[in-house]
Amino acid sequence: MNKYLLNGLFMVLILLIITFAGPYLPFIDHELNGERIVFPEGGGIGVAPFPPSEDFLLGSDREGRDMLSLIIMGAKDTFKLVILIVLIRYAVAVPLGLLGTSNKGFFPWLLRWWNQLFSGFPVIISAALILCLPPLLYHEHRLVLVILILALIEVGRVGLLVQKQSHQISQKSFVEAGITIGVKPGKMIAHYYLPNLLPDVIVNFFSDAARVIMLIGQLAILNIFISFDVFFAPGLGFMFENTSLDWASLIKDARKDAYLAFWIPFFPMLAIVIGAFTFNLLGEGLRKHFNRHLPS
Amino acid sequence: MNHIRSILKYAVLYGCIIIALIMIALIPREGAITAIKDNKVAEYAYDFTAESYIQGIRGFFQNAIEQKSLGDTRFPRVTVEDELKRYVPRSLQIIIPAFILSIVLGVLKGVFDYRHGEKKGNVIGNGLTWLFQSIPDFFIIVCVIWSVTFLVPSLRLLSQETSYSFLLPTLLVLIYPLAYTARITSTALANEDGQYYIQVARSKGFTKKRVVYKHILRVAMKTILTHMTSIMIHLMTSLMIAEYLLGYQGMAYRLFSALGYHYSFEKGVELMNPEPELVIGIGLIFICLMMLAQIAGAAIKKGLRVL
Repeated sequence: MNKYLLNGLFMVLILLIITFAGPYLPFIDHELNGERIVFPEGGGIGVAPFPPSEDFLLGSDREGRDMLSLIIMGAKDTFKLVILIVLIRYAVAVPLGLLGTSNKGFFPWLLRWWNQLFSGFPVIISAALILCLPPLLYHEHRLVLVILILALIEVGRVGLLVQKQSHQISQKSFVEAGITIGVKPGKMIAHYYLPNLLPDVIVNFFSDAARVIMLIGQLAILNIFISFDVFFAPGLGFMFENTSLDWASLIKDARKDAYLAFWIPFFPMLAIVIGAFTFNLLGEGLRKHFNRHLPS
Repeated sequence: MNHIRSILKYAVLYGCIIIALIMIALIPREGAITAIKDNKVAEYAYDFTAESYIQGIRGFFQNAIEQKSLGDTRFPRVTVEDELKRYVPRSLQIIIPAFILSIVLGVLKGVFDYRHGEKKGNVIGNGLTWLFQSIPDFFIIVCVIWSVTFLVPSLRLLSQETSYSFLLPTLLVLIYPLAYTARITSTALANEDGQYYIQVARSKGFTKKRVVYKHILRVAMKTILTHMTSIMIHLMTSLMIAEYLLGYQGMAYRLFSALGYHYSFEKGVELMNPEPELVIGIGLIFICLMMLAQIAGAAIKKGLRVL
């Protein structure tokens, strides 16, 4: 019985339902229209943010929008972001790793340097340093650039893992046998290398997804956003509007809200925790599944 | 000969990291926001010129050589060195105990996990370590801060005026690296399973505990010590989050404010007074800490005579 895998798949199922079917649930506010001031029946005035109550199950944000609706509507944006970053990372790292199978020449050298250069600092600090540069900050395609940067920072680490493993495989006798009988390079990769590499790549893919969602959360704690729009409001000057609904951008003001309205940062954080936990659970479960023939 | 080669290799590596840091920090930041399309859309005009970039870098090195200083900060007559003297000791007070504790306690926890891993109903073993590693560090930090402020407000743990003000940040920064160390320790121990030297030691009548501590751990140390820099990295990540959330005026906090990035609910994102020289200064301290972690690893390896 692989408890990790079963629980992981169960959690993934729940998250998928929330992401795709969640927005159609009756108690979810699609429009995300909030009212900052309400006049309850008993008289008096209520000012947002509203604490968790019958009307707002998880409370409301400073705009008076329902937190539960925000989190469920934001699930798609969040997972899109995470999966995209990890996919780009692997799309670059796996070919680079395979090119370095011989463990000699340019590609292993490139991956080693790439890895060591970025492992000199915590990822959060390198990311903060780069993402706060003004040319990036106000760039019209900030979202695309941020995704690319977050993906590329850790290509070295992932590529090096793939490279080391494919080098190990290249030393095995079944590969030599393949070369002896004249298997072409394309077939060699498809039938000899990939089937042996894939389990580890898949396992690492999910633990990387967990790392990415954690990183996005950490960036959000520091108030560094993935995307926003700059527009000019007459009389007020330049305003910044958050254009994404992803969970990380809901955490903004965590430091301020922590004491005044703890439910605003808490529930999106909890969502990120559940997301990271699910990816980790799935990764660990798949590792156990792929290694089930080995003595534990 | 081998030693000299590896020292040279690391010198080149750290040199490259420092150059990359300087190059990124000194990218020119001047630019202007203007409104276009009937004042409705903002456009950010940023023209990068190689000349001003090169001039900035040249100015930085000139100042470093002539004035023996990294540069100035946003405050008048306060140099980067003055700021470092003020902020770095506060962080070192956290980092050094947290680093030592996370390794010592992490290894002990890893041994515990390894020895008691198989037992059923063991709630503080492997499962707990795994759980702490899967939960984002910021969530643990935020939860601890909340429980401290809401449950025991009288303790004033968040204040910076008490003599024990560094206790809470140390504890917060410690959790994640500790779980990481425990995990690599128990994996390294498990990888030794079935080796002949263990069977020999057991057959001579040594207790299981003695074999784990005196024989297996000694061999596993080799793997654990190669992770010293990763432990330091995890520690610095937690430090950044903990100092920011607690408002603890340490170097990670100062680094973030030196980026000049400012967010407020009312005005959104602003760039104010970036201090690239200070970013370089604090970056250099971080690199020094990484080197120290690596040297400590090598020194322990030598002391334990594990090859």
